[in-house]
Amino acid sequence: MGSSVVIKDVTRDFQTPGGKVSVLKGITCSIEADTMCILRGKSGSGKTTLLNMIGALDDPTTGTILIDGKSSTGMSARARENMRRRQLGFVFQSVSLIPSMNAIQNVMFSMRMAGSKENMEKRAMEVLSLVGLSNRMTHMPQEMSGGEQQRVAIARALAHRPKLILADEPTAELDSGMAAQVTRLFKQISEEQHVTVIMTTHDVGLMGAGDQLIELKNGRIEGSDAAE
Amino acid sequence: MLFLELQKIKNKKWMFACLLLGAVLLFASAVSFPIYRTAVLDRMLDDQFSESYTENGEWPMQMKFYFQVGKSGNMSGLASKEEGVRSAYSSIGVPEYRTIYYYSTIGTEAEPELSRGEDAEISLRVAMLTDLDQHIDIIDGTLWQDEDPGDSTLDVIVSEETFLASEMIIGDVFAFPLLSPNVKDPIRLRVVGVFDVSDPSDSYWQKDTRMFTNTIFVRSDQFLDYFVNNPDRPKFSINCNIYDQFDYMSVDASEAADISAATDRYLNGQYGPLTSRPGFMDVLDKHESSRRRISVSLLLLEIPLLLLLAAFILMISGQLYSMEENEISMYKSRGASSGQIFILYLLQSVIIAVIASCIGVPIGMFVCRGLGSASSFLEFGIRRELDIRFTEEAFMYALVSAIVCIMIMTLPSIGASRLTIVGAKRGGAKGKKALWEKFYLDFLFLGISIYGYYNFSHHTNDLLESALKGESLDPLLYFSSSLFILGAGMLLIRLRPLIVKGVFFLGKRFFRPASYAAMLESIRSARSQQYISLFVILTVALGMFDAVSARTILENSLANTSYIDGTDIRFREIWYDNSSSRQFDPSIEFKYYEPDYSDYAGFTKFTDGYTRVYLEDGYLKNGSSGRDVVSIMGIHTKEFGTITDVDDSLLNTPYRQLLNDLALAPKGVLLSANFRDSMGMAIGDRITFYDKNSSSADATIVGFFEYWPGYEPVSREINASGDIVETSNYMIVANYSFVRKKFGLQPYYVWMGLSEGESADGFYEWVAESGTPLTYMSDRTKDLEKTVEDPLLQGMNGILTMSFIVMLILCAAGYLIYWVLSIKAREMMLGVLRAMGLHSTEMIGMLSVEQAICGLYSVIAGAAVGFIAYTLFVPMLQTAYSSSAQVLPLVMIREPSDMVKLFVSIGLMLIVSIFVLTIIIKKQNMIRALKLGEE
Repeated sequence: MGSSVVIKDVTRDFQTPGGKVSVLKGITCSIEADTMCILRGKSGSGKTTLLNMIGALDDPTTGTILIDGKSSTGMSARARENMRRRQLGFVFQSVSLIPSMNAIQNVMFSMRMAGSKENMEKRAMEVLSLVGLSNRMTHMPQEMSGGEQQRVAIARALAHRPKLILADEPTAELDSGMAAQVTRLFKQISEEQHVTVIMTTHDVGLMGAGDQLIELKNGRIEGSDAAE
Repeated sequence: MLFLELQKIKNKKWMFACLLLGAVLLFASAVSFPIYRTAVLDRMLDDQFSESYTENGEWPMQMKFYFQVGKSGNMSGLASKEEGVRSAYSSIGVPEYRTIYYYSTIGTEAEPELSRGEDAEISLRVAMLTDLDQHIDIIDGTLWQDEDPGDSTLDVIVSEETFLASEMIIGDVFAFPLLSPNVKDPIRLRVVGVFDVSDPSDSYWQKDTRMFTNTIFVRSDQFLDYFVNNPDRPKFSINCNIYDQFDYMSVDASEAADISAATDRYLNGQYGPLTSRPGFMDVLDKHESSRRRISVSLLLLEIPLLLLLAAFILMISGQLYSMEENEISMYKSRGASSGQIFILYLLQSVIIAVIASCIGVPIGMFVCRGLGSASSFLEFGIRRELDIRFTEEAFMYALVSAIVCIMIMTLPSIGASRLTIVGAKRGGAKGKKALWEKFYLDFLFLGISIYGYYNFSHHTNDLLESALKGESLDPLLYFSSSLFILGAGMLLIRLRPLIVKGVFFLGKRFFRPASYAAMLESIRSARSQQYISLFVILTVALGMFDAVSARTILENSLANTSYIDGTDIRFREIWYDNSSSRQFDPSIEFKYYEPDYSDYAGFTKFTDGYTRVYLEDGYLKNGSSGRDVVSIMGIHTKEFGTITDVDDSLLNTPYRQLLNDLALAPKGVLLSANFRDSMGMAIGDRITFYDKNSSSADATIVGFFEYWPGYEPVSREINASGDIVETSNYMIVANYSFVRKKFGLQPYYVWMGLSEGESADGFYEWVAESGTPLTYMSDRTKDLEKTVEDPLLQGMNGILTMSFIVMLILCAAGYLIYWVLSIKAREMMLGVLRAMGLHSTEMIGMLSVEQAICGLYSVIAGAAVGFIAYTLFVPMLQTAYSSSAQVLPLVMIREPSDMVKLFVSIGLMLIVSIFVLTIIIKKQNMIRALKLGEE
């Protein structure tokens, strides 16, 4: 079963040479387990900052984030790293595959990091088939298209059976057809693999793809709706 | 444009710093070579002159002229001849140090005013010697008066020898009618003083013992006025000896050949017949031969370093260029022409070259001081400083370096080369093979070097011959070893990905994530790491090779010197004999007077012992009339054994056992093994040998030795046709008491071994205090110092040390910049790994494994290549460097401390690199890194 995420009064300020900048200004919301949540907003609205804090890559200035009821904000650096490698899966906007590894090695690497006891090769083949790349397993990243690389990244995020996948603008560099395909894949994963997926996007066309939509504007939630 | 360039330098300051470092080192290395060579050759020439001075006791650069004038009464030729003699300075091109005129009349009748009896005939020469009064002490009477005497009687001074031989008294007046215009009123000379030379070692004095015999010295101006320029002088000859003493200290080594040629021209000219071939021509010829050998050898040693520096600059500038490709395309898009871009890069190169020359040249001069004190590889123990000066040649080297530097730095901008340390990463990622890989240059280099190895190993005699002839080192010999190191290094780099893949395949199931990622990264980036790996391999391998070469050549030379000397100090006093008494009574038996041996009792304060050693040539009869020359040594076995030693590994029978065997057989002898081999002798055989006076001794052979303190089994010489001629030297060692009994009391040497920590100072003090005259003296410490200071050895040590240090700097700089740029280029990927949960310690571990694969593999590969290279090539290099004096078999020396220094230096480089990378990783902002991909 996927993780539930509860965000309470989260703010995030950054000190810049020009003074303090408040990126998040009191965010409160919750995301249910095994759902796909779309975080939408324009550039600079704070969606990536929020995603980073959910993923324990960053700490809120104030407020708490609970994942399955546990706050990540008070954890040690090592505990947060362990949580990231075992419970979370990341998909980034840019191509984030390790260039020295081929597709299956990239996928197996996340399982190796998570200390997976499964037959890694079998599981990697399974998830790569799931993303439609069973014929590209031994290809190096630079031998694949952007969309294929992003699908390998999704397979990698999924392989070690995380409870929560955080995808930051995974479709930003893809054409609209490929973007829709990747989004459908996330939805399918959420439903079939029982994983909670939080995906940020500024693409209005993808807003209806998730189970829940949270819209951010200037560091505040503009609207939060369950998708129809 | 200048502003744009300065901005560019500011923005990429670390890359430019690296480029500047390479350029500075290029200037320093290039300039140090001629400066150092000039300094070391100047010193060598000074030493050669000093040696000649010590050996001959005369000013080392002088020409002796002799001619007679005045026999016909006409003195007109004198002035022109004097002018011709003086012209030698300008003709040869060496300034005058001093010209000494020694003019004398022929021996002529001198009539003393004070009667010596009827039979007494006194023949004296009247002479002048310029500046005589400044080099003598008046021991009786006074010096001559400065003003002319009113009574036409000239003051003269005489040597003690003449004074006594002619039974003179102070105030004696002699008339010289045959030298006077008016026989009835002859010139009269009054003896006013007796002199002795102030300092017999003064270079003013000539080795002409007749100078003072029956000679009276008059003031030079008076001699010229009365006996030379006097228009009424009668016809008598004047013997003119003129000594042109040249200021040899002002002679630069580079002028030696010109001076030699000019001297030849002078000797073949108008005034050549007045003199003979001067001794300094031999010094100059010997120097010229050494100069060629040293110059070529040092240049050969320096070339690999200069090439590496050039390659380093090319790589860094190539990298800089590839980093600026976007900027260049931007300039082009804004209308800049290719020419303008070229000028921009030319300007950049000129700025760097100018700055580098300003820093590099003084550093080069400083480096020369270091080179001058290099006593071994990475050791600086020589205190005698070199005279370092910036020469015209050094300026030319600097100029050429500047041009080469600018060309190399500008070259990548016109796309002529893409060779870079890091830029090759891109090529690697694209799977492009490097040129050397594509054309199998590694196999080619290895093939050439192995051919060279076989060629030289089958012609070691040729190497020895050329070394004995003083010819320069065969470039192919040195290049063979360098090519081997380069070829083997490249081959191991070619093999590295295969080895890493093998290890990865076998261990992939067991690797932790960090090691797993590191292994795959290493396989992928193998090509981009080729250049930096090669630098590490070359640094280690050449470091080891250079260390072993330098150490082996030096230690063998030192061991040889030490062996030839036999012990710390050897000397022989002047032995007086009764030959003067035998002139009157030939029936008296000839005998020597032995110096008082008890005088040496004080030596016990600073020695382990001292002993008499009889060492003279003798012979053995060979057939009815033939003779085999043999060295006969007589020793006190116990005392001799205390102060000498021979490495037992050189002997079939241990040294102490040989001494014991001799001690137990009073009439026994030890024979050199070559004697046994050529004569078929065996232990127990009896032989009869003779000393130079043909006194004989019958003895029983008790043992054979291959080596013995001071004994040279074979001497090698080059004959007239240029072939090596080996001559076996035979030696007999007997008990001193036996030799003395058979040959009588003969002059012996005293050998002494200094106590631990003692120097020869005690001995020198004894010589000075006792005034003991020595006919022979050898000091092992000084001989060893001389060996270390040999220009070729010292130059080799200095250049190899400098090369290693420069390579280490290049390697460290290149290695660090490679890794820093590599981390920067992988910043986003490392951010992803951190985001995925890789701990920072794991991250450092991952980079450490990558470094181990790149750095450690290279170090191990370098060590292996270095080991094979020195095992194969050092014996040949040693042969090429050896001299005719090399007696002991060559032993390869691997000094552990050298290897420790080498590997500690390399280890430090790797540790510093990991430390810097750790700081970079710690400072890395994960979120900013992840953002990089979005830009």
